[in-house]
Amino acid sequence: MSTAGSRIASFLGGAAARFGKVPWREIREEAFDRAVLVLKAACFVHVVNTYVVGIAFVRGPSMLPTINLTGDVVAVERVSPRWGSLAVGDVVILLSPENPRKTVAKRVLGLEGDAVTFLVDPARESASQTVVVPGGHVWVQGDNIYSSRDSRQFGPVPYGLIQGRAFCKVWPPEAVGLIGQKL
Amino acid sequence: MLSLALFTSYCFYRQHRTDSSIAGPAGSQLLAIMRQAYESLVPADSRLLPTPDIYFVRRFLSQSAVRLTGVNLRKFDMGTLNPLWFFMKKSMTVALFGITISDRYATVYSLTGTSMSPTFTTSSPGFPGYLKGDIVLVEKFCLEKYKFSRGDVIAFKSPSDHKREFVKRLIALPGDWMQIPDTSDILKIPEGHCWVEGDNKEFSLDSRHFGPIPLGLVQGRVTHIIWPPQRISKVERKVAMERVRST
Repeated sequence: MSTAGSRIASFLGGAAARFGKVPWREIREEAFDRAVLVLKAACFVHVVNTYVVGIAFVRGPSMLPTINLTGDVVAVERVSPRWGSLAVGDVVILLSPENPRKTVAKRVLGLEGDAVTFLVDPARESASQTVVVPGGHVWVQGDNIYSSRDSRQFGPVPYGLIQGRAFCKVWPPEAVGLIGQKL
Repeated sequence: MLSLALFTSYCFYRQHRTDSSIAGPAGSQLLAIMRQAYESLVPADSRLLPTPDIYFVRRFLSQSAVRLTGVNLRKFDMGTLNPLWFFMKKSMTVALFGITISDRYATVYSLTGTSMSPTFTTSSPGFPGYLKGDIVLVEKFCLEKYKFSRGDVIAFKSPSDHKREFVKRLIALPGDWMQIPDTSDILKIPEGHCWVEGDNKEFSLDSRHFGPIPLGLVQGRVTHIIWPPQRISKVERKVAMERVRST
């Protein structure tokens, strides 16, 4: 009994000694370094995604046939909206003016000062209407004019809502390719 | 194959340790273990180098460079380039962290213009005036769900010029019925939009001029004045109760 007790005591003592020998300071420093490295990588990803290029998942019927109904992953560059070098015909990603938590992809059909002529309701009638896009706004429309909620309903959208220009489809593999300008 | 793998892992580790310049006791212990493993597992005659030490490779490369060009890059590298490189790396890291925090969590704005007096003091244009105006803290957590309250002070991109940002008070939220000031018209704020007005009614370019703005233009909520020191305070919420009916 006493031997078992002393054995346990010696084991505990040994464990304490071994515990004391663990280089805690070094481990802490190394863990901190690793954490900083991970944070740095996350920040780098954020900065590249916000200022250079990112990806977005786009789906729905409004951009048929450019973007598939079931969804395509597109590469989005953030440089040209920031520099104000968007052109008519570019496909852009923008925050929906009707729901700020939703992002939509549409094609720019008019920059500020342009006169845009559009069919009001192409499914029913052939009446068209012409508007002049006010300063600091753009006119965006889906490629599928029969099933798209766009500037024809909510009017020109402020340039500040544009998040980037979709220039390339990256997934699925059979759809990979550049997204061109189209009028 | 095994020897190559061990050698490269050892070299990479060694390189990493020297690069981050923190060869602490834990690191050097691990290094010794790795070296031991390499030397015990790989027979001496099939080793790639007598001792797998990245310094040998470096010295060999720099010596051949000296022989080829006649310029001792190594001296240069150690003497002047290293601190500069180190400093650049440090400042890049700080910039990365700073940009990420200011984009995602909170940022500071220096305010100009008179549209929000008396809540914020005005600054006169020109260099010293730039620091005379209030500097405010803008939090961005509210952008996660676009949850705002009537009376909050918000920062948003101008709907007519995406490069300018305004700070105004949020008067009405989507779905609210609101009486347009100085008229008897009643307006329902459309979905996803809000109505903003400056506190200084006479000198403010706001929703009375450009109508309701999309919530997507909002960049954050102004919570505190943090400069000048005598004006450090929380920004109060002010609700225009008599004009707005929520549904």
